[in-house]
Amino acid sequence: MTGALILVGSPRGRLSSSTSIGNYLSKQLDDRGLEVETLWLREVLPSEERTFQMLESVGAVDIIIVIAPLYDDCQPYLVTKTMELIADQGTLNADIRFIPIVNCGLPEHQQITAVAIPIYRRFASTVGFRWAGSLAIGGGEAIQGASGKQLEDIGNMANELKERLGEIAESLATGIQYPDTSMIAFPSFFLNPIMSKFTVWMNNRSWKSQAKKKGGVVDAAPYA
Amino acid sequence: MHTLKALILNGSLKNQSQLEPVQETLEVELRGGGWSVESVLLHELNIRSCTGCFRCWHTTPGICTGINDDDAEEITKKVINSELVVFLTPLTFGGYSSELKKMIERFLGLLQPGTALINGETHHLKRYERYPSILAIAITEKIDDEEVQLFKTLGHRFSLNFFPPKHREEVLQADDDLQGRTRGILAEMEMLQ
Repeated sequence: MTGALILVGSPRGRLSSSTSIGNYLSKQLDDRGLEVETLWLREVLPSEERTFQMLESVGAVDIIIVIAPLYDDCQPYLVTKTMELIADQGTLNADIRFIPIVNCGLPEHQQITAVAIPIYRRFASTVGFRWAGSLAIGGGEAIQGASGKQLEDIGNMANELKERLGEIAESLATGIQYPDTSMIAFPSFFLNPIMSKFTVWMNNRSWKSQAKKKGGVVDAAPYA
Repeated sequence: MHTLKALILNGSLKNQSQLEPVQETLEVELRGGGWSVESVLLHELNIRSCTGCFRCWHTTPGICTGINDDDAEEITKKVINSELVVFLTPLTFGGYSSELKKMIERFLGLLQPGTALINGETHHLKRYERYPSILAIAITEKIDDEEVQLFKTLGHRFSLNFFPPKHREEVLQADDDLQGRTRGILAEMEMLQ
């Protein structure tokens, strides 16, 4: 049976959009007869034993899927550390297929494709993994994974994402290459110039209000 | 007269020493140019990774209170009060090492959560009037043009989100004349005047 390992790289761990994406994809892969294991790097890396077990799993599976947010234009620390650890193992089984799925709170997917996806690609070629495609998701806040919601909970908003994840599962199950793909997690009409400005205004107002409720001032400069 | 401050963040992994000559040259040259210089070997400190809790945005704006028992916040304070911050890193698939990345993620509170559209792209707002210039130097065993370009693009993207007055990204090969190259970079950035 084909084995797939999903590595969730969100610093938020299980309560994250990466987890929501991973849960949905895991089910899609399972439905197609793949054996799926999911690991959360936030839980793995603090433990030597769990790290060792993860590296053993990496060497034993046919497919590795990294699902992580964009942090500072590239991989979160948890993923960078994991990539270093995998690379330290030397060249691995060249038949292992590798696919990253990256979500970013900001809407423009070029924020993901400019650096993070190419770094994943360099990593894959360095350790000898076979590139199996990628998915860059802009506007990832719409997934609402931080509040524990699953893709099934957010209605039509998740339709395109679910479709892409279904395609990825199908590609991985059948061995057909998935293209490097970008999408936005909310309806595209929010991207027209007027709606973009309105969305930014609403977002800023929401942060200001959240800080105020907790007794803070959102634009405080404590270290000036 | 205000003494300019430089903070060197050395992102070497444990048992790596290839960045030492670069760090030493930066210290000597900058001090010679009148700078106050502090260097930090990140892996020797207690720095925990960001947990994405956003408390530095919505609960104690500008201050990380999600993690209370490590050295990162002190470094973050020094970063925003420096005129130059140097990132030193082994080139890692075209990007930063895990040690450096762990520290950079803790700078989140130096920005505001709110955003603005800049040249059609969404970026977070400044929290402070001024930010330090950034010099990022990566070391690699063998120059690979694709990875060099990736590192430069990463530096450019970082600058869009961090507002440095000047920024520069360089990848050096470990057997280069590291001291000479480092001196040249500082001179070209006009940091020694």
